[in-house]
Amino acid sequence: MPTTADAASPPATPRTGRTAVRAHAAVRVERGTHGAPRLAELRSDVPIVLRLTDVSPVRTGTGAGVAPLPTMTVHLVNGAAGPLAGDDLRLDISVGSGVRLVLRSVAATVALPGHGPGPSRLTVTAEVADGGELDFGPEPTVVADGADHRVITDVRLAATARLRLREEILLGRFGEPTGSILSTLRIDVAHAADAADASNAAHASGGARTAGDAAGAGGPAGWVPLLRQELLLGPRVPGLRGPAQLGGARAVGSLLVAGPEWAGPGPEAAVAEGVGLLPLTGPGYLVSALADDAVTLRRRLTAAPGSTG
Amino acid sequence: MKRGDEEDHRGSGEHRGHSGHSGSGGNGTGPVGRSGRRATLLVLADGRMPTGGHAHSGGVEAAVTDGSLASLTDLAAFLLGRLHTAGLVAAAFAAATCHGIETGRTGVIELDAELDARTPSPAQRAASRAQGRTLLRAGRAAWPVPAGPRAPHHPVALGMVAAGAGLAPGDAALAAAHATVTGPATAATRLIGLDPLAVTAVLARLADDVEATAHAGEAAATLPPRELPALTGVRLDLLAERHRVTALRMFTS
Repeated sequence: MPTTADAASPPATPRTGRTAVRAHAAVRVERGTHGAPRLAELRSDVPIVLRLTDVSPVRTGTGAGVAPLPTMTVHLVNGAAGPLAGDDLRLDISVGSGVRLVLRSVAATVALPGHGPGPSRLTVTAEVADGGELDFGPEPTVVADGADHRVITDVRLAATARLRLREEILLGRFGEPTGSILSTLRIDVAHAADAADASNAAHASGGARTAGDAAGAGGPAGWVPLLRQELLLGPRVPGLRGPAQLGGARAVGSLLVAGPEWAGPGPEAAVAEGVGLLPLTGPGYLVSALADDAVTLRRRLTAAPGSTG
Repeated sequence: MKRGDEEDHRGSGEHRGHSGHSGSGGNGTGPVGRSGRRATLLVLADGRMPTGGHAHSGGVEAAVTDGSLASLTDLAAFLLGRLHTAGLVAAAFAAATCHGIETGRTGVIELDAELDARTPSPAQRAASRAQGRTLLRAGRAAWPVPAGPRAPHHPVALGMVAAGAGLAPGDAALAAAHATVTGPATAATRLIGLDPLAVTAVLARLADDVEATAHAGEAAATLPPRELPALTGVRLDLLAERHRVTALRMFTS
């Protein structure tokens, strides 16, 4: 498996005497009585500080023709510089049935070098229940020179849950070489009975199964993989600047949109300068973009042809 | 991967360690090609095997069209980037499929669905399944390939055929990594008229990286399917989609 260690820059000059930080924050939203969204848990843990910024009993959802959902908006406020090498940060997100959580951040995250052990690490897990929606669009992660950063985003969607997930990575601060980052996205959708039939028909094309396939396409835990994507970026990644990977781009991003309305025929695949809209096999599509700067990247992600994002 | 005692008796040159070339690979522990069926592996990896691979450029044609691949240097960078992303994924899935069939534990259908989730580009999914189907047809004519989907992704088909041919997961990984660079290299020779001798030299310089990628793929083969490598090259996805809507083209993908 790839590790950022392979691509890491030499250790940077020590900047602070700060020791590595461990933090575990959580946000949990449910549908309360009378349909209003209820904040079941909002746990900040410095440097991950969470602030409830808006509550709307009713707001229009992202998907076309989707019923409006009571919405709660929470902002991530970076409570300290970093993350720095050795920091181990975790954020758990849970969205209940019939509510929508909009999660934003107030500023970019700057992954920095340090002299803690190993890479800095951010793990985000999210669960969205049937009829719930998570709209997670943090500001970009800037990978400073000498940083070695690891991001894992693990999302599990119930069969009728919706997700809008944006990730933006900037390679270095202005005029600076990039550090290293390995970002892993794993999105699974619960194995609904009828979705499974359609999925098997598409995959197996009527062919016979081998003995080891008793578990079927749903896998052992009843989850169907929607997206698995690892981005390994850094000064020593082989071929990074070649025509198969980034070319000259300094900003890389994606926008994943998933929900039951995309289970049938979704948007057509489309491609334009630096951006592609890629309908997935499962119920959703990915907008993937490259750009020279953050502003262009955001525009390409949000204005992709055919995207509702 | 565990290293069985019997392999130590075979005493072939395959046991040499790879050179420790830079890259994400190289943490594999088992020697690639440990089955000892080297002549069989050569048949499977031979570009002349009628697997339909000649119809696919792996993104090279679109890169030539958009001007990002115009020289031997560009080709070398393209192949290196493709090998360390799509090549590692292919090597891991070929090895995992072969391993799963050998041990009867991991389902081919589950691995195939995991590859779908690692291939967001519809054009790349179609190209991979088309090549998987033709490879299976050729493989079934040659070896007793186990039953499975008719048109699996190419790395899954490679793992199935390797298992049917009595090859080991490391062999499947090596064939997958090898195909990741040889097909596009041949396409580039035809598309921009590069000197075939110079292209061969590029491939020769990539050999250590190919071997390291195969090692890494083999080492990953026993992971749970959802944790198998999923590295993306980003531009490869965009190139595949751009190529699909190009009116005039020599290659299918």
